Amino acid sequence: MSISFVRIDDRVIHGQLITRWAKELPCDGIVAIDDAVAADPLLSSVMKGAVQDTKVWLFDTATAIEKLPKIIASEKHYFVIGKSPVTLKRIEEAGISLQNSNKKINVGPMSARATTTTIGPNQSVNPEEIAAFDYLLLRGHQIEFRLVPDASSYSWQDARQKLK
Amino acid sequence: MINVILATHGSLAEALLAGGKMVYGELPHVFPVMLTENKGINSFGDEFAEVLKQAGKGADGVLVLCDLQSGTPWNIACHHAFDPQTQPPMAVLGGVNFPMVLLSDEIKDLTDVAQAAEVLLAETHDTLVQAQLTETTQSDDF
Repeated sequence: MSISFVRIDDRVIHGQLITRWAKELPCDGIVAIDDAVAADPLLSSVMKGAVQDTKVWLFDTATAIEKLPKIIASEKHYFVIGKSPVTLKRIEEAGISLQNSNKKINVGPMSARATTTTIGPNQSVNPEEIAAFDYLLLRGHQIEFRLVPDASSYSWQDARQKLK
Repeated sequence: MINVILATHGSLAEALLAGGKMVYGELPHVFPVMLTENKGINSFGDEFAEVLKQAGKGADGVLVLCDLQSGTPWNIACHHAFDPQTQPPMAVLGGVNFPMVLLSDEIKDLTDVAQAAEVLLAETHDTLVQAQLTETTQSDDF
């Protein structure tokens, strides 16, 4: 298994934060997945420069589904970052397992938007994202909301209580 | 355990901390103290001493991040830092920026404040960069 860390982060690649996680977990490269970012070559190029000395790939969801089997088969250790739980849901629906050596899906910042409910510090979810988290939980993933390695955390089950 | 004081002019310290909390959620080891126009230098000195007392509680050292070398927050921080009576030991850095505040999260578990200062300063140097476009072709060599 070559995925060492799976994260949901609406900044996609946030330099300082990903550097912080890469100090805790093995990281030979970063695979970031978002349709909007991948469709914007300029933004893609800027984001790829976020992490010094680490290879970064930016894919739209369809390309990620095509490439992930090869990535998972690799001997190297990769971080997989999706902008939204909806993206990860689509990947699992395509038959690709995001089980990883960190044994969970980590969730970082998800900004407040028009139809979102706040569940934690800088963490808000809309109905589509709620459904996606429910799906990922059903698929056997432990879902942990934790911004940085040392920070306090809560699970999707904990967050679910607040949403009722 | 190293606690960190942000000592700045204006509301910079509080603003840096607010920004830091956006990214890291919480930064309980960081204590802001500010020199403002209406409070003046003497009152800042008192406040600094008070914050230092809080930050020093249970800590192996206190690292002060100042916005400007030789400004008033720096002078007052140094006055405490170089006083042999001061416990726990202190170190002072100038030129605080946002990455430095975030990176301070990574030195907070050290015990030697001089070493913490050295590590943090070295890491912060790398955060001063000019934006550049990187190549966009993606190879498949996973």
